[in-house]
Amino acid sequence: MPGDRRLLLGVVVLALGASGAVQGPADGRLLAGRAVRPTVAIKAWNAAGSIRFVGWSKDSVVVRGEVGRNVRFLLSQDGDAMKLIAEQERDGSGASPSASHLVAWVPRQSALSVKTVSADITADGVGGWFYSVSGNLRITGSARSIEAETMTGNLDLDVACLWVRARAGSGRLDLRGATEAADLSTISGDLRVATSSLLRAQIASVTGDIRFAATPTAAAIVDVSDHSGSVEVVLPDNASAELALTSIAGSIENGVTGSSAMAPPSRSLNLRLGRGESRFIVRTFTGPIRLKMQPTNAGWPELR
Amino acid sequence: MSDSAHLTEAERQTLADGSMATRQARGLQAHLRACPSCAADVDRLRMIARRYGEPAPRDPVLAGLWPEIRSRIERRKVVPIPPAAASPRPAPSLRRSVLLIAGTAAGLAAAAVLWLRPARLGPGPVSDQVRARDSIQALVLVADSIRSYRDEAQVLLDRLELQRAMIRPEAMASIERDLGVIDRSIEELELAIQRDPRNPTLRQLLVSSYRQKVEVLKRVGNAG
Repeated sequence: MPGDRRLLLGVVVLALGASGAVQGPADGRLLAGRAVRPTVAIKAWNAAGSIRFVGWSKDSVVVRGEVGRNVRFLLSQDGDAMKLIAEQERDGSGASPSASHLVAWVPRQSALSVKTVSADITADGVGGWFYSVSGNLRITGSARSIEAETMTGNLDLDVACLWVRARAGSGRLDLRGATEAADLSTISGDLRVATSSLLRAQIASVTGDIRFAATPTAAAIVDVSDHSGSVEVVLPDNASAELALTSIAGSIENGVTGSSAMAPPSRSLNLRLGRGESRFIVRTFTGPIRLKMQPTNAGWPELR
Repeated sequence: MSDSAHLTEAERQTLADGSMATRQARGLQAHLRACPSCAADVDRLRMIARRYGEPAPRDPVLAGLWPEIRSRIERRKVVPIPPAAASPRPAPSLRRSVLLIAGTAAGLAAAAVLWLRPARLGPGPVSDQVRARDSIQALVLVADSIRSYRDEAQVLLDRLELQRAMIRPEAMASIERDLGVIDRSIEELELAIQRDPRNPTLRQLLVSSYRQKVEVLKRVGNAG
């Protein structure tokens, strides 16, 4: 390592030691620290355990935590790209990988690409691509864009973000916070949306239940499809929206009083609330559709 | 190189990820030739780096640009579909590519129609004739979209068979469970469409199910 970089790294590590309010020994022993550009692309891999990313305003990456038995930890850098890997030493032994628990502080503008098998992923204030086979994903804070996928784990997104794409299989998917465009789907897991900033949303499940509970933005278009799960749309009583609800073989429960139906064909309900500034299209095959109103002053119950 | 008989951890890792200076790397290659232990370890590190490198995630810069690109696409969506003209059959491989490309384009157009169609529910008179025309056009486009997704799903299923042995058993079980759920929904929808072929909602639901299937199959690449 060239002398100046070594000096810089030393300064970074010393500075980190001084900023114990942000990170410190409570998160495990210091595994590595590097000076990086603020827009560094970071690929991370940890099979089992957990991996947490915290976006911060420093131009450096620091990793703390505990590395599992026979797990090799690697933090390497190549220009503006960085790899953070916790890899089991011996593959093919049939034994489950040992759990490593890692916490990485990364620049807020960095772009993550994180992959795990069963390790849970947590990210706060940093965006990118997150994937786990069975781990749970929890992403919070502000980010430019977020792509998150898990096959059997749960996805909990509470983010301020322009664009979110999230896929879950049998696990639950929750979206809160402030997102303008969202493309969300599950196979059999329940899907809940409680964000009032959406302009475009495509929400789909095959057998999971879908619940949308928020104040729709003017000009928003929300498209919801579900095969056999139920769809519940909960709007404030002063909502301005047009709704086109169709179920092939399920029931449609209209909890709106004083709404005017617009030429309803069988098994569908078209109605306008207020000035009709946002649009909801809901379609199911056998799942029931429920439209509910909530008093404006009741607020929105937090998703748990 | 260190004084000990083997390469240091840093030397092995920088050799493996290619970040070592060429001159220094050349010097250490001699040691690798003479030391099977270090050579095996460096090979293994290279394998880990290579395996980790695939598949490449989305470009973060492109991801940042996506919302604007998406909105531009939405603004420019037009769906003029000329009547099919008789043309000589292309060679099978070429025909498949053409079908996929055309299908994808049709799928995008169908998505545009489905996405934007509710705007027609807004205030202002819309004649029954216009509604009927839109409805037929939407049916045709959705049918094309289904065909496109079905073809893509088949290609991905073939690929899954090739990759099956390399996928972790727990991931494979999850994939098969999800595909089972989706396939049952597709069967139910196709039966319903046979009974009611002009129902646009059924076809839109079928598109949604096929889309889910394609996405599950695409995730297979990440599950290895």
